[in-house]
Order: sequence, then C-alpha cells, then structure tokens
Amino acid sequence: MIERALVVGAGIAGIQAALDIANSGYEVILVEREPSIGGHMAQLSETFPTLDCSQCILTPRTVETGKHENIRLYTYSEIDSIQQDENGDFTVRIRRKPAYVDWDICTGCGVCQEKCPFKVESLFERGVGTRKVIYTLSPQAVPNKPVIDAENCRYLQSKWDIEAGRVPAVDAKGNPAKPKCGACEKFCPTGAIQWDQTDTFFEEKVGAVILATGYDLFPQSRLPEYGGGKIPDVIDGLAFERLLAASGPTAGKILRPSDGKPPLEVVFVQCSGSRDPERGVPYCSKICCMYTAKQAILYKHRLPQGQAYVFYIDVRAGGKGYEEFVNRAMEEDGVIYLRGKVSKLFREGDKVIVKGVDTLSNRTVEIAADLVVLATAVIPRATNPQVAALFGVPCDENGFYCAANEELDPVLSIAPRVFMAGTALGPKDIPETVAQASGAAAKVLSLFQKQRHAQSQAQGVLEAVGD
Amino acid sequence: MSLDFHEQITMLSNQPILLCYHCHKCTAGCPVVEEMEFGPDRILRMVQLGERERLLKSRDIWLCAACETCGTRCPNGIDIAKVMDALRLEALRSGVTPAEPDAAKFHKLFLFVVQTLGRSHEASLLIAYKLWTLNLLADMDSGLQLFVKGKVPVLPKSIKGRDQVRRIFLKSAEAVAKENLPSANPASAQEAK
Amino acid sequence: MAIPYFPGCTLSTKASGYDRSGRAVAQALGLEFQELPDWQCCGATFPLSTDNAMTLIAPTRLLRQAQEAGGQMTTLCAICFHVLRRTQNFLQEHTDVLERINWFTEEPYLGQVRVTHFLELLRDQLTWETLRANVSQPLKGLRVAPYYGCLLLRPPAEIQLDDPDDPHILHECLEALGCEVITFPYQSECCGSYLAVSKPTVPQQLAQDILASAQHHGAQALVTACPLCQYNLDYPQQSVRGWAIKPLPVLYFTQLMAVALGLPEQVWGMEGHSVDPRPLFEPYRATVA
Repeated sequence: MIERALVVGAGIAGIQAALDIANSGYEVILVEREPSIGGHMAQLSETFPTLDCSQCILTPRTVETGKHENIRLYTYSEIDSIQQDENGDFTVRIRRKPAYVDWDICTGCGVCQEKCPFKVESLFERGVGTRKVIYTLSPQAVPNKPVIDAENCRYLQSKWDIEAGRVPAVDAKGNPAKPKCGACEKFCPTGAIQWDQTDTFFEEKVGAVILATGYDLFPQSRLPEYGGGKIPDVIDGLAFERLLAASGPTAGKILRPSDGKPPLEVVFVQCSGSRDPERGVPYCSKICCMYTAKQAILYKHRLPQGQAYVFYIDVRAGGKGYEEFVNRAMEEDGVIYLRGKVSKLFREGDKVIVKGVDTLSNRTVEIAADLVVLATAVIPRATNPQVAALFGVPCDENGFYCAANEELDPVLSIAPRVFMAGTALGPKDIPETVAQASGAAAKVLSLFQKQRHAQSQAQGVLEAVGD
Repeated sequence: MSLDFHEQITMLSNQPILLCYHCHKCTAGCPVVEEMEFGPDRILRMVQLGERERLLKSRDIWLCAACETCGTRCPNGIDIAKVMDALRLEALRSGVTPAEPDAAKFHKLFLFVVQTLGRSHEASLLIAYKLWTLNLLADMDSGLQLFVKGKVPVLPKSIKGRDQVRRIFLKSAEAVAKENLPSANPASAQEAK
Repeated sequence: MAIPYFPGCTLSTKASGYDRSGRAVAQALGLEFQELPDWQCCGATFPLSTDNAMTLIAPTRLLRQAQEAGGQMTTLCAICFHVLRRTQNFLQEHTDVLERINWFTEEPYLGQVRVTHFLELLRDQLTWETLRANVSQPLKGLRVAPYYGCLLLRPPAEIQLDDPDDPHILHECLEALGCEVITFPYQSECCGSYLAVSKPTVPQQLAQDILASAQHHGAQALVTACPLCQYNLDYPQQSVRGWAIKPLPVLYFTQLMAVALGLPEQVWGMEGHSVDPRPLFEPYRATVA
C-alpha cells in the first residue's frame, strides 16, 4: 500500500484530517475546488458557543496547512478521474483549472485586485457583497494568490472573441483588434498574468482517501412564500455572517442590503426549508437554532437599540454549553423568541412584513422588519453524487454520503480505503466536524501503521530465522 | 378525552393528523384566525387529544373559509381544511348546538342538498331536489338569506333533466334503505367492507 | 373551435356580466363556447367536503355531459373549476368509487374528461401571442392588479394551474392586453368566501385589507376570475357604512379582454357592478365602435 493519502475538500474537515496525517509523518495530497482553503468556516464571523472569532481560530491551521512540508496543496482543482489497482491503491488525476495567474511568480501583493475596474457578485459574500474579476476569497486566503474569473473578464472574453472570429480581426482604423482592459497585467510588478493558461493535469498515487466536500444551503428561490430570493433585505444565515464579519463587505457593520441603513428590527426565521417534507427537506439541519441565537446575540451587541425576533418551532441545543448559550440570548441580550412558523413575508415600501404567530399566547404577529434572516436548510453539495460515484460511495435519500454503519462506523464508507468526514455526511457543527476529521485521519494512519507493523513483524521473523 | 374521536376524524378527513408537530404555520396564514377561538393548529392538537366536546361546540369550525392556505403551506402535508370539513360533518351529525348558528345553517343547507342523496324520507327528498335544481348562489343578498332564515322561495326555471335527477334521488333512497352507499374515503371504505 | 362550456349557477344570475363577456371574447377569438345542454349546480365545494361519495354525483354528472360533448370542458367560475378539477382527479385515482357512482347516474362516466379553466385554455391552446395579436385596443397605461383568490390555485398539488405563492397566469393575460400589471402582496389572500352569507363582517375586513394593499401599490382596478371574490370585494364598497377605502372597481378578466379586443359595450357586462368600472375605459372608448 502506498503510504500517502488524498483528502478531497479543504474546509475545516479536510484541513484537520490533512494536518493529523501530515504531522504523523505521511504525505497528504489536499485538493480544493476554490482558489483558497478554509471552506464555509472562513465565511463566518464568530463561532458558537464560545463566540471565538472564526478567522482567528481557523487561520493558524490554514497557514500550517499551506506551509506543511508533508502537504501537497492543489487549490482551484478538482478530481478528474481515479483508478484503483489490484493492491487497492489509487491513481488520481487532478485537474487544475486555469487561474490565468502564474502562482510561482505571483507574490500576493494584491495590486491587481485594487486596479481591476470591474466588480461582480461574489458567491463568497452570499449576495451582500461584490468582488473584483481578479480576486482572492479573503485577505487571509491561503494560498494568497488570485485567480481570474474568465466568464466576467473583459480581456479574456474579447481575446477569445477575436481568436474565434466573432469580432473583426482589424478595427475601423485598420489596426489589429486588441483585447479590452488588461489592467491587472499592466500593474502586476512581477508579470505574473498568464493569459494562455489552460487546464493542467497532475497524477498522484495514494493508498487512502478522505472525502470532506462539505455542504451547501437551500436556495431561497425554493421558498416562494418567503420572497423566493427576490427581496434584497431577506438574506440567508451565511449572508448575515458576511455582514457581521470584520473582513466582510460592510467591515462588520450590520447594514441593510437595499439602502445601507442599519436595521432596527431584525427577524430571524428558523426552519426555512428544514423539517419540511412537503416543500423542503425532511430532516433537521441541526446547526440553525444555535447559529441563529449567536447571530441575534451579535446583532444586539452591535446595535443595542435594535430589536431581534426569532421565530422557531423548537430550539435544538444539544451540545456542550449550547442550552446555556440560547438562554443567554433570551435573558441577557433581550432577543424575543416567538414560537410559530412564519406563514409568509412580503415587501411593503422599504420594510418586509412578516406574518407569523406566537402560539404560546395565541396571537397572530405581524412585524414590519428592516431585515429578515432565513436559517435555510443545510443541503449536500450539488456535486456530491458525482464525487460519490467516482469513489464508489453510496449517497442516502437526501444526497449525503452514506456511512458503512451510521452508529458505529460513521466515518467509514463501504468502498475500501475510502473514509469520510464532516458535513458531506450530514449537518453538524464545527466540534463534531473536527472530531470526525481526526477520526477519519486516525483510520488512515492505522491502515498505514498496520502495514508497517506487519512489515516489521515479517522483518523480525526473517532476522530470527537468520536470513 | 377519547382516542376514538381522533381515529374517527382521521378517517373521515383522510389526513395524517398525528404528523403535526405544531409549527403553527397554518395559523399564521389563516385569514379568519382573528375571529377564531383556537386557530387551525390548536384544533389539530385537540383532535389528537380527543377533545370532542370542545371542538364540536367551537366557533372555529364554522368560521373556516376553506381557502386551503393551511394545507398548501403545511410542511407535513396535512390538509387542515379537510379536517375542518370532517369536524363540521361530525358536528351536524351529532346534533350539538352550533356556536355559529348562521354559518351552520348555511353548511347544513348545502350538505343537506348534496347529502340527501343518502336520505330516504320523501319530504326531505322533495325539498332537496328542489334546492339542487335551484341556483343556489343566485341571490346573495336576499335569496340565500331567506333560506338561512328558513323560508323557501319559489322555484325559478328548472333544468331540462329534472326527470333524470328525480330518478337519481329515488335510486339513492333505495340504496340507503339497503345500506349500500359508496364512500369517497378509501379508509372508511375499507372499514365498511 | 367549439368547446363544451359550463357556466354554473352564479354566472347565470348575479354574475351574468362574467358569462356574457366570456362568451363574447371566446367567440371573437375563434373559440365557441357550447353550453352543456343539461347542467345543474356543481355543488360549490360541498361535494368535496364529506366522505360520502354520493355527493360527487353532481360534478360527475357534469363531467359525463362533457364526455358526450367531446371530452374537454371549460368554465369561468373559479369555484366550479375547483370542484370539477378535484372531482376529476379523485375519480381518476379511485376507479372503484367511479364505478359505484356510475350506477346512480344512469349513463356511465369513463373518467377521461379534461377540465380546464378558460385562462388555461388561453395560455395553453390559444397562446398569449395570439391574444396579443387580436388586441385592437391595447389598455396602455391602465394599472391593473390581478387578484387570484384561493380556489383557482390551491391546493397546488391537485389543481396544478399555477404556483399559489408566485402566480403568473392572470399577469400574462393582462400583459397581453397591454395593461400595466401591478403585483401586490395580497394577491392570493382569501376574500372570505361563503362567510359573506353567514358572517359578513369577516369578508368585509378581508376585503378592506386586500383593496387597501392594491391601492397602496397604485392599482386603478382589480381583476379576478371568481364571482364570489368579485362580490366580496365589490359589494361592500358601496353598501357598508364607514368604509374607509376609496372606491376601486373590481372586474372579471374577460371584461377587460372584451374592451381590449374592441368588442361593443353591450358585451362588457359592467352594468351590475357596485363600483362602476366604465369611467375607467373612457380613454379607450374613443376608437371603439
């Protein structure tokens, strides 16, 4: 068995697993789809229940991962294909997408991002912020090297139009047509912009795999009674995190997306899509009660004169310190908890009217909110079935990876030498994710160790026999 | 409290009432909830607990406008409007004095007409037949009010097929006599078998 | 093209304007409404409300007549449509019940009739493009808010006409007529339905909310497809003391179609309204014969 491991996905699960294996002296290939590592945790402001700054606890690990001599990091990359030989080892073909920037020359100075004249919607900012066409995900990105979003890049699009003959090869004055913009190239001090990059392929051989591909959020478009994603001041939980984050688009000020004013009445709607077999997902997304309490507390800290309302069905706070955390929101921070699911909400003028009910007092409640935060369901990534099929791992009826035994072997898959960790298996919080990551890493290490143990035993026998 | 009542209403309405986890989205969207004593979700809770008396005497079941907003929004796919239908039916059958007399009379009227296909009494048959061939929603302001007050107005033009309709009524009366009526509810149909 | 048509009770009496304008626009568009020869009241949602299948005889009898007339039927009244559509679905799923009912109705219904609302017919068979091409009097600048009500759309799994929380079918019809279409948040909130008879204060309150919201969003008129909604929104405006909302005409979509298609005023059917809508159409009248 080749004593190297492949980890697919570099969120906190992938990072933790990679570090555990690398620190034990084995080589790890870490593949991540985004330009930099950190996953959803990099988008968070503070984490529950400690209210630690997410970047502060994450960055030491991302930096360690980026510098580790035993970790070969492939970001902006995807698994193209795998083959398993008769020993059970894998040959993995990794496709590195073109960044149009030579990362060996780039120093990460950031001038290109400053000078790029064009902004687009940023997926990282979840609809409440923009990024440049040449971008890194955040100032603390590891690696801190940018990529160019080809679809929105004026230079690349015009260059390809000229090459394909979609526009005339000479302009009105008879000069050869030139691509537009190119500001990044002009200002790059090291000449790192490489316009003719294409997909590059790499082959690695490994003996074990850990899948840690993470989660996504239920799209607002599937919640038409909550605005269907069309109301600017109705955002999801991750978007609110970006408003809270110091490195976010509003530098940590909570402002309404529509007019930039601070919201004085904020409504949090739990179970937006979760526990909803008819129109959403049937399961509970586990983390929303906690992160909603956290967001309400942080909102009250930043805007003490504001009022936060949380509409809930039940409050699920099972972890260590969790129940106390939610009570803190209610008692110390004055967050009003109303038991009842919101029937519908709509825009009226510059407010969002929320129609709900407080069942415990039996009154209908109508709130004219400045901002509404939907705790949308945690769903598997759209690419889960593809990745699962590549590695021979089944998915459950909700699209999450299946464990070999959900009680006793939660990180083991039925595919030999393939392990799994984190939210790709189902909704869970950060402590559970990290525990699973270390668990999966331990499984891999034990595989390698068994082989070494067997080898040294065999060696011992040979020596005893005097050979 | 009686558990039989819960089973009875579940069968009558053909809805999975036990799946309700009381999120109250139905109540939050109900257009007439301000007039109600309990609201749709509490009604379901009371059905679950078998609170027959309280339910059949409540105003809520007569105030339901059958707008189906509750059923459309319920995460567990429970059509509460159908549960309300079942409760109204049970209230009329049981002879409990309705809490909203005018609304109850209106329901009774319509139900009488469509249900009298299951009665055998000749006089009621005649009235039901007359009503069925009448334009029931014709005159909201006066005509129907008269009905509600118990006065039957003169028949307007009758339909061409009134003989056929008459025969249908008579046939159904026979069927009642032989207790041979089909049920629209698969669950209670099974029971009947 | 001839289409079997079921007017229903209310369209033959109180809501005759809806019927008149409906027939006229259908004819103008080459769709001839052929009234079912021998109809009776559909039962107005009550057939659906009991477990006694005998109550389904009323709508089944109508479906059978449509079967004789060719296999498709259309209606204008949203309540009749609701009853017939749900009955049709139920009978297709429970063929054993259908068998028993057939024993009572003398001639059997085979369960294959397509029930369509006139709006569906326009959308799916005629197409909005054809409607737009036939408009001789586009209602440019007329700000109209479509009001969908409940029974035309819910329950969506059974009715399957449009999304109740984000409907488009009336919007598209009005756009084809050239109107400026106003979307307002109360467009599918209940009008109070038959509580108009037994507890009129409820529909009056609901009507106030609906009309106030439509006005707040700039609507000059409301458009609906249900005679009960029309009654609940229109009638109280002139008859309830202390009514706080400015008068807002409530029309049937076929009436707007009649104006836009350049049809004569006799077929608009607007005489019986509480709030007279006719002044709204003065600017569009000049070129109409």
